[in-house]
Amino acid sequence: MQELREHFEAFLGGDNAAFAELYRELNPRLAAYCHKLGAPNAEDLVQELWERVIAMRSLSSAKGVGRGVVSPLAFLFRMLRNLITDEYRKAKDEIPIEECDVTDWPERASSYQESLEAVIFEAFDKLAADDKEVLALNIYGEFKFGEIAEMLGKSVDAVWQQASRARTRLRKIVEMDAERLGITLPQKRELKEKVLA
Amino acid sequence: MNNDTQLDRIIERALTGDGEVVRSRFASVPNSGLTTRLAFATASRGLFASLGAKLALYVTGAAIIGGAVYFIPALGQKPQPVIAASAQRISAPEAATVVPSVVTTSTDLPVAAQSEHRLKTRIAHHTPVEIHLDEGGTQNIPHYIDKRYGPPLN
Repeated sequence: MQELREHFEAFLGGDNAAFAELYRELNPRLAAYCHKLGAPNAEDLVQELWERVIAMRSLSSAKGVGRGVVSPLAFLFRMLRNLITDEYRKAKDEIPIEECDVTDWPERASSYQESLEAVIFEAFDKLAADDKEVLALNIYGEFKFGEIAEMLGKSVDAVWQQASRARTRLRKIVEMDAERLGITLPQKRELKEKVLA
Repeated sequence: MNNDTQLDRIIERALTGDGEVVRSRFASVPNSGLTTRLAFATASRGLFASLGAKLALYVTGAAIIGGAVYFIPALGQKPQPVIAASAQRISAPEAATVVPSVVTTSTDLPVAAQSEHRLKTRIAHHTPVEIHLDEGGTQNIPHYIDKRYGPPLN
């Protein structure tokens, strides 16, 4: 995190190499988080984020914008979250992501593993927004709990507990969906195979 | 419990694998659009900084030159004392004295009054001259008869 702060300050000071470092470190992770939240045009959103960051440098020299940023990670994350919210507002008239038919994924899957993975991904999308956000940041963004706490403005313990609860809820959704779709879960499958043998 | 742990591991593995795939879809190097913007921002920043520096330099130079033009002529010159037309002792005020006023009368008339007086004198001593009008009879009247003009034919 200290390294990110140094890069951010160097970038504001006019160092383009520091921007490249920031981008390399954060772009795929933030974009993955953005994508996993179901934001339409995740790539465009992160592009917009970086454009704003570049524009901020001009303002930084003129008005001191960005100079007082304690945590660049939290700062960028909030900017991105605002962009996602705006994008959702704009896309309100379009078809909501919940209405997209994804129930046929397991049927299209060619193997048992693919079917199970499809159920897991679908279950992930069904999570509540807060649970999904923490898991998306942790798993898809590869952010540590300390970093997520900084980004969300929460304590590390609170984030850890929320992630734990989110995982429990995810498992329950997976179990229910697997049962509904007739997919046997691994433990039960092993038992079934043993019985049949 | 064992079932839950196994399922948890499967879920974790599936999501982690998916995370890697998703992250790999997004670039880790700024694209051309961002690079251009960055270059433009850097260039404009440098340009404005350069213009600002130049402006500051010019203003400072102008201020120095202006100051020099204003102050240098006055430098090295000793303050000159103001000399009064007649030296007067100002240390002790003189006692007030009563000076009798002298009224003089002039016999000379002012210029306007003089010319008026002269005119009046000339009018008073003027002798009238009789005017004789000599028109010279009819010889001074020009006669011209057009050749084509004649008495009416009877």
